[in-house]
Formats: sequence, structure tokens, C-alpha cells
Amino acid sequence: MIVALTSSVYDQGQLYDAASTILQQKLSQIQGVAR
Amino acid sequence: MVGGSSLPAVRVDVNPTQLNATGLGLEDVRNMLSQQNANLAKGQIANDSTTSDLASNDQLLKAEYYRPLIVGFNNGAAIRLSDIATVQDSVENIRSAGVANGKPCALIIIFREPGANIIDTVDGVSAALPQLKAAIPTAIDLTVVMDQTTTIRASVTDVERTLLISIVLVILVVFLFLRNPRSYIHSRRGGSGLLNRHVWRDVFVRLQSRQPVVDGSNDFDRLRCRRRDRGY
Repeated sequence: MIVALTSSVYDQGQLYDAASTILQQKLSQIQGVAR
Repeated sequence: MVGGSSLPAVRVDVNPTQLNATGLGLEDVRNMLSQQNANLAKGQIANDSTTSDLASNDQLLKAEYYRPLIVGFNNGAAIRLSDIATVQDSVENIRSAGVANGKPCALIIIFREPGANIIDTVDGVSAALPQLKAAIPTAIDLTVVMDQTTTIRASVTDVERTLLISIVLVILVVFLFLRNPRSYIHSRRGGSGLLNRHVWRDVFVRLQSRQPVVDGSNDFDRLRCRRRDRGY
């Protein structure tokens, strides 16, 4: 499953930052998600 | 896994011609940058018994803080980083890119744990999406761009339907080849069809009793045992 983060305000680096520091941690807590 | 870009960073593109004119080298620039942004204690305060480190929040996080840094001196004039280089806010690795529907994006690729049910996992992620959206700034749009379970779900539905159809077909075919429906109710051999009350009594006795039923305790069982002993 692939989720994309897009924004008209933030640049790609900030999107990556949000994805790796916030979302990645929350996603890894969901049952059945590997990484 | 997160892809499509990399973490924010400050990028310094040095113009070697301008740098050469000042009489400095790339190594000077590198040294200066690593010294200016070292995350170390600034010093110590000590007396006879105690030593305390002095710390400060002096990390340079944006390009504008780097531009006025002094690289060296030429004929008494300070040479700042902005004189010999372009400094901009960028990312650690500019050789990775992600695009979704023509827009630059960051991608989160979610893998299934080995042995986990893929449909349950995707359902869990989909259910958590509103919470994930709430956790990041509202200006960021979170969209699912690929979900492989669409076809998996379709296959499972198809298999379930096929299974039901095959069950119905088997029942129909068995009825067809019985030729005479009465033979299902009055089976010839030993009279063990559905209408034989001894058969039903045996079934009920077996269902009700907690003890195992002794062989030959009723008519049906006696027939069954006789047949078994004769080797049918």
C-alpha cells in the first residue's frame, strides 16, 4: 500500500520530514504493518 | 518505508572560480562549516569541587543563518559564505524524487508483516488514516495512491461465489443421479434411510448420552455391527 503526501504550502523536504518523524511511527503501531 | 525525497538540509554550492580568487580552498570552507555547526559544549565553569558544561542552542538550521558566516580573510577583508557560494534550504539527497498525479510528493510505502493478513492490515491502515491526517499539518494532503487489495478482495469474493455455486451444483447433481428421490428416504440396505426411526433414535441417543453408546444397543447398531463383522 502506498500513501502520498502532497502540499501546495510545504516543500518536499518538509513533507518527507512529516512522513518520517510523525506518520512512520504511528503506522508501525498498526497491527500487521512491517516497518 | 518513506521515499520520494529526503530530510531537510542546507545546501552550499561553492563557486570554485570565486573561491580561487579569494585564495581559499574547498577544504577551508568544509572546515569552517563543520566547526561553526558542531553540537558541542561551549565551555566549562569550574571551581575546586565542581565542573559545569556550558551548553547553548546554537544550531544553524536555515540557509539564511549560514550566508553571513566568515570563511576567511583576504587583505584584511572578511569573506562571507554568500560571497563565494549559493546557500539554500534543500534536502539531504537531491537525487531522489517523488511525483503523485504530477505534483511533487513524499511517499510512504507500507509493507505487510510476514504472516499477517493483507486485507486486515490494509483495513487497519485505512481506519487509521483520519487520525494520521490529524497528526500532520492540515496543509498536507494524504492520499492513498496504490492499494493492491482491490484485486485481492475481488478474487476472494469470486472464490466465495464459486464455492457457493459448486455446493449447489453438487447437491443438484446428486439429486439428479438418485433418479428416484424415494431411494434417498427409504434406503434399501438395512433400511437405514431417513425414515427409519431406529436410525434417528440412534442419532439422538448418541447426541444426548455422555457415555459412549455400547455397540449393538439398538436395532440399527446391531445391524451396523453385524455388517462390520462380516466385512462389508
